Amino acid sequence: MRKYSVIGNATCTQSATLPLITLISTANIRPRINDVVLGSGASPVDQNGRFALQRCTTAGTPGSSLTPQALNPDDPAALAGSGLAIFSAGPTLTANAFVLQLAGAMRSTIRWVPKDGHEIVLPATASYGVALMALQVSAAWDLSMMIHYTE
Amino acid sequence: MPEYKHVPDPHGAIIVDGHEVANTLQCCHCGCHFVSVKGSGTVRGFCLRCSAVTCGKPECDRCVPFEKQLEIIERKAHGLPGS
Repeated sequence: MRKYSVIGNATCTQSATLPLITLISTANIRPRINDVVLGSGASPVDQNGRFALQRCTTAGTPGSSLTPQALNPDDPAALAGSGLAIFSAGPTLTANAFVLQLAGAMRSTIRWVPKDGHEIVLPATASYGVALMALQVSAAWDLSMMIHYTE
Repeated sequence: MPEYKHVPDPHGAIIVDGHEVANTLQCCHCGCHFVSVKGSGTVRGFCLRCSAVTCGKPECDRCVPFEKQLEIIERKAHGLPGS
């Protein structure tokens, strides 16, 4: 099992269609998300937000593509892909397929960790994946995101 | 005060500033994680075939284990029969 990390920073503009970051599978692997961390490195102010991972069936058009980094340098390059905001075209989101929801404040760091065997699993299908959506934010603030997953 | 950490065998944890503030459970049919809040009135389910909790969405009432759902998605995407 190879472990990878995706890290990105984006302004968390509220949107039900355009994600902040995506993790997209391929035909040969089933990525398993085992760590999600949300925080902010900007000057702290009282803002809050509600974020959710939603399943998607296309990758959309990201502002930039992220290359997942292997946590073990001996591991090969990741097969999964990732996109970072600002998306010019959002991925095709699966209605009501929210697999995780996290709410928190800008001043705090939120982390979600599953128990072994209870990771969020993506299908082994090209372009299928999950998108981190800012469902509700009090204001647009700089959000730092980190997703760890295995292939 | 709602209880966010009453689950004896949680499937995940939400940690804020290093403190575990809530536990999550995973639906055995759609794979989503949710926070079970004691006394919230939110109706969840339990699948007797999977012997595991479900998130309570109507589409998760029917037993299609998550592994099977993944296979259905993958077969459909690859154009294989039986999808």
